[in-house]
This record gives sequence, C-alpha cells and structure tokens, in this order.
Amino acid sequence: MISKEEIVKLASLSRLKLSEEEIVRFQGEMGSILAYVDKLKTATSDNNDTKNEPVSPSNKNVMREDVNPHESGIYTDKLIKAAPRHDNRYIKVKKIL
Amino acid sequence: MKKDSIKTIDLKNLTIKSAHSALIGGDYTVRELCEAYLSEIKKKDGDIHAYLEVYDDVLKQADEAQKKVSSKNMLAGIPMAIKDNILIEGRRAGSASKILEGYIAPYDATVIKKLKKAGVVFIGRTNMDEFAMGSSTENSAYGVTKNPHDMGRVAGGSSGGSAAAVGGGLVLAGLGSDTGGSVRQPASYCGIVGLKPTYGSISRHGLMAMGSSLDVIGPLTKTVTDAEILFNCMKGKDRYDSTSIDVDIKDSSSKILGVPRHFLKGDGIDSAVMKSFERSIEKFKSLGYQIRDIELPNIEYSLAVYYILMPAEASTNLSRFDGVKYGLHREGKNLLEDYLLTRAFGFGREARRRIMLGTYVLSSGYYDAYYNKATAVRELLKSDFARAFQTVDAILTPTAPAVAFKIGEKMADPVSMYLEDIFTVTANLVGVPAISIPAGSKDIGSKQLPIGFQIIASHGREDILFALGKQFLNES
Repeated sequence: MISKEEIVKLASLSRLKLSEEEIVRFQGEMGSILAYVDKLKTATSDNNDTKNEPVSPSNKNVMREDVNPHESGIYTDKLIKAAPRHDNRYIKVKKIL
Repeated sequence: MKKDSIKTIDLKNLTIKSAHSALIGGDYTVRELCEAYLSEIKKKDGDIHAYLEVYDDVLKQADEAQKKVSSKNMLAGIPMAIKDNILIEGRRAGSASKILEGYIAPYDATVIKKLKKAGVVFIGRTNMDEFAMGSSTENSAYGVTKNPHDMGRVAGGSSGGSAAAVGGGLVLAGLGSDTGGSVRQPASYCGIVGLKPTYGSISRHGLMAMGSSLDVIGPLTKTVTDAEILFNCMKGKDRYDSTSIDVDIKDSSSKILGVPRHFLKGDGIDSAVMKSFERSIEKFKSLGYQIRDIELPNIEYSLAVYYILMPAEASTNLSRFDGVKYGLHREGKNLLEDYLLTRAFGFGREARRRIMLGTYVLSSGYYDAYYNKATAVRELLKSDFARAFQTVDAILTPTAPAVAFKIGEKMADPVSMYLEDIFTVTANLVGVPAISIPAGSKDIGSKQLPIGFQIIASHGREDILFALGKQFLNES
C-alpha cells in the first residue's frame, strides 16, 4: 500500500499540484495498480535469473553526432511562436535566482 | 449538376482501391468525393463525435489533389482523418489535452509529408484519449467518441476518433498511433482493420511521444489491401527518427499458425469473442493452414511489464509540458508554481495518474524492483517470441477480451480499463507487427457489435499479416 505522504512527495517530484481529494483518490488507484504489477515479482527463468542479475536491454538509445543538424536559425521563429509567453526571439520565464 | 447538390457515392462499400479506380475512371472528382464525406460528417458527427476539427480548406485541398490523380498514384485524392497527436504544419494539434490549448504545429510529421506528396486530402483531426492514454477516448478533454455501431458504447481507444470515423463512414481511412493496442483495439470495436507496424518501420517524427520505445503510427482502414497501401507509402528509414528502419518487402509463404492456448483460458474473455476466434481458426484451417498450440511462457507478465515501462516513459516524455514551451500557461507566484498550476490544470486524470506512476517506478529505491525488473522480463518476452517464430509463421489471438463496453463502465477502475490491452501490449513490448481483422459480431439487443482478432508476425514481416488478412477477408 502506498502512503499519503508518498503520494504528496510523488506529486511534488512530478510537478503536479493535487487537491486533498485527489491525493486520497490517487492513493487508492495507485495502490491497486501497483498490486497488479506486483505479479512481476514471480517472474523468473532458468537461464536468466532476473531477480538479481542486471540485464543489458536489447533496446538501445540511438544517438546522432551533435553537429550541424540543419542550417542555424531556420526553425527559431516558428518554435518561439509556439511558446505561450514570448518576446521577439526570446521565451519569457520568471526569474529563477 | 447543380453546384450545391451532393453526388451519390456508395461510401459504405468504398475502399482506397475502389475510390482510386473511380477517380481514374472519372466516375467522380476528388471534390465530389470529399463533398460526400463532408455531408456525412454534417449528418452524423454531431452524435458520433469522431472529429475534434473538420478542416475548412478540404475542397481547396481536393482541387489540388485532383491534379495528382493518375494510375500510378494510389493515394491521390483519398480523404483521410488524422489522430490529434500527429502534426500537420500550420494546423492545430493537441493530443486531446487542455495543456496544448492553442498549439499550432510548426512542422509536418514525416508520415504527413509522405501522404501530402501522394496527394491525400486531410479531412480533419480526430478525437483520442489524452496523449493516447486510454482504451475508450473517455480520457479526451473534449468529450467521448461514440461507437458508430451503438451510440451508448465506446469506440475504443486511444485512436477511437479515427476508428469511429472510418467505421462510421465519415472518412475513407485514418491514422492512429499504437503504444499498447491503441490502433488495434478501436479497430476491433468499430469493425475495421487496424495495423500496428514493426517498431521503427514508420517514422515517429512529428508524433507526440507517449512511450518512446513502444509508440508506432498505424493505419485504420476498411480492408487489409488499404492498410498495405498506406503502410507502403509511410514506411522507411527517416533521418529525423533515429530508431526508424527500412523494412524490405518479402514474399510471404506462411503455412503454420500458432495459438497460445494457455493464455486464452481466463474467465475474463467474453464467450462470444472466443467463439468468433475459434471460427476464425477453423477458417484458416479450411484455407490449408496448419494450426499449432504454442507456449509463450512469460506472456502473462506482459501487461504488468507494460504498465511499468509505459508510465515510466510517458512521465519522462510529458515533463516537457510545463507552460513555458507550448500551449497552456497558468500564472503562479514563481516559476515552480507556474509549472505546478499549468500541469495540474492542463493534464487530465489519467495523464496525471501515469505521470505519478512513472515517477514512482523510476524513483530511487523502487527503480530496481519495478523498472529494471520490467526491462528484464521484456527481454524474456522477446526470446519467447523469437523461439515461437522458429516453429510458426504467425500467432493468432483475439484483439480485445470483449466487445465495445458501455460509456462510463470502466472509468472508476483503472485496472479494469488497463485489462483491455491484455492481448495487444505484447507486440509493442517485443516490437513485432500485428493487425486486427474484423471477424463477425455479437448481437446485443438490436445492435451488432463487431469482434476482431489479431495476427502477430515477426519483425519486418508485415507481408505475412497482409497475406493472411487478405485471404481471410477474401480480398483479391
């Protein structure tokens, strides 16, 4: 069972503001989902004991070289325009420090 | 003919193939075909609610597409509906989420680029579960899509809008995306064909990401032939999606079909679905195929693996929606509160649930027990399938455990909704192609609710799915 404090902490890590009512509801719902996925604990196989052995997944990230993907600046205006708060070629955010 | 009269076209039996012949033969123009669909949408979509937006330039697009109509160009002038998570430059795209309110796509998805080049006419963008999270479109921020076969029931999801539009005769073909069954399950519910291609065979560039190691774009069509036409147009390596691959077209000669009987014994499967499935197996036998019982030892863990990996990837992908870069912005006291308020207001309940779940399984202390364990079992599933495909050419299962359910029926219990994906998620985890084929229906009262079954083949063997599907549906 997942505790109320854990839900509050997860919400904060997830950058979500939850109401008191939602905290209670998520506590129940996440509890039942986690109870379902817990069946995974029984999964093992003879030639690959997944309980202890770290696996190297066959899915791998595929990266490109970080060099000149396209002509500089050709998408800038379009992408800046998608930001809800922008000013010329800048995206506006509140000060951080 | 008067300008405002609608040409009578038999839309019910129309396919991409037959529309193409008619357009070439001059039976009607692209404009007349599109007018016929727009008129159907006007009549019926108020009730079905497949579309979030019907574009206002359809007839202009139609006139342009008319110029491309030729015997070499199968898709010129074909009207299509596009799921709201696929970008078309200059048009609204929102994944049916409030958090993307006002967002205009700044570029074309690779699939859209290819379809545009072929001369496809885009009729509109279709409803879906928010960020493709759900099996019913009930998680849309803009209201549920109804099943054209029974307005009291869901169309399935998450690509429910595209499926209902095709199944309800409101468009000739649609695009969806499939992360755990989101093309196949609504196809099954709406009585049409839905293809989930091999992972990477169709570029994800311009598709809003949910589970990046699982997501793939797929067509929703009335026939297998139409699905094949669209797949062939859209497939291929793309420099903008590093996971995309080229799939060679092979010649199919499959003979042995596997059925994982041990996985079909649960009491959660509707008896009408099982009866229909047995009839489909009989039909394949009568077509000369050998049916073999197969073991997929870890398949019972598929759904648990999926509901760990998918939320983990989804919570990561959805972190980009913060009120700064796109769409909605809610004003708070400081930057952190901007994030909190924008995301709390912008994301619906299921999106928030999956973000929380993903954050949980990725958090320190739980990472090994959940994420690592799920990744390990995913590898076991891959070897299960690799072993199975050494002895059989394709695997058959039902697509969904039951027919379309009533609107509201599963909304209170997320696990019951997740169980909708029990037969479909494995193909996404393993990366193999799968197709849902319509195979009869279940009568409930005066309504006939469609039932589908699923064919799964090994990586890059869409040709086997097409060959089997066409034979099953007697398509020449």
